[in-house]
Amino acid sequence: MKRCRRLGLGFALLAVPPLLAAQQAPSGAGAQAADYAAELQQLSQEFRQAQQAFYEQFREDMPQEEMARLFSDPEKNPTARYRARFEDLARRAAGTDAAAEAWIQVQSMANGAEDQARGREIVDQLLAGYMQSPAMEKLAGQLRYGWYSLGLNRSKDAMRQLRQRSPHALVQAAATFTLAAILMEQPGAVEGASAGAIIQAGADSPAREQDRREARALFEELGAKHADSSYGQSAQAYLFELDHLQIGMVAPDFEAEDEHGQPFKLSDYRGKVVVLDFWGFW
Amino acid sequence: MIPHEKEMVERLQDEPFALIGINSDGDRESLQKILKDNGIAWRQAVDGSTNGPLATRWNVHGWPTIYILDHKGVIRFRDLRDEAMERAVMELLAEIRP
Repeated sequence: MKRCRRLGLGFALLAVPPLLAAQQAPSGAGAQAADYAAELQQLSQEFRQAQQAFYEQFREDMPQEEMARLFSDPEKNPTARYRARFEDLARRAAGTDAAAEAWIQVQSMANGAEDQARGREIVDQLLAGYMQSPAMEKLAGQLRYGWYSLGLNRSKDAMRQLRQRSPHALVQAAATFTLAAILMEQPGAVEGASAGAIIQAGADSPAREQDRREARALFEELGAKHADSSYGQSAQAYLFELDHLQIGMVAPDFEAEDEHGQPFKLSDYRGKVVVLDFWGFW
Repeated sequence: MIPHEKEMVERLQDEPFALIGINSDGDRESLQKILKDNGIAWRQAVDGSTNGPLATRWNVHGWPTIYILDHKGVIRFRDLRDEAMERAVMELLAEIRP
């Protein structure tokens, strides 16, 4: 998920997860589970369209207060409306993969809506009741960037449970990946501060060092056990970051073309203090 | 972010300091338009997209991501913005001429 710089609101836009192909109905649940899966697919699509229409109202030159007003207006912002519908489906479909997925969707909406206690409850319910579901891969994906709403320690704990207890290789890989990624970014000791502030504050602390060691072991495990999955491949990029992009390391050189087509290297700037700003407006 | 960066680039124009943008918006032409429209005059690496080669290699998955390097090329700070960024830069400039 990208942090939304354009709107400048200081929070991330909710990324609507791509639809899973309708899950295989668990044996015994028969046609009903398939019906719920289809209903979920339909509802997700409707929500995506409603969200798209909602975001089209935002203009780049809109004052922040007006954007905030739009967000908090339940008539305009479709999130609360759809959250109730996902929740209703999750209850009716209890026990199916569609229900797991619907709860995961509700969890992300609860996070975004500052109803974080509810978000925590849902995660607990999912871990207690849907550990066998392949849809739990989405919970791991959601917490990769959504951990700050759930809380760092709860997110880590959820991922540890998922990675140890899920019967599905992809869920294990997803949970391992999220656990490693948040360990790498966040030292264990600090809860509730912004990422940048945490990274500064704890760069050299023993807790930070221990987190980094654990993250490395998990990424290496992903590379070895899940090399074919996207998680195994992304793990390589994180290992590069651990080896070359930490505070105190010499930044790896790069060569690029500038806005005039002129090639240059980072090392051309030795002797100068350099700020590298990865940015874009999109 | 950008207004402060502009001021900072101006304030530090005679110092051994460089702000380098690594832009993920598109090709060189579309970037030139963005720079012109927004009055951005510091050097850019054209990375093409959020999956560009530099963003990929540097494992960037949130924007903006900021690295602050000292005059020896050592990464000293990450993800500081605005006044905090400028304070960090001033600190590193002071290291060059103690």
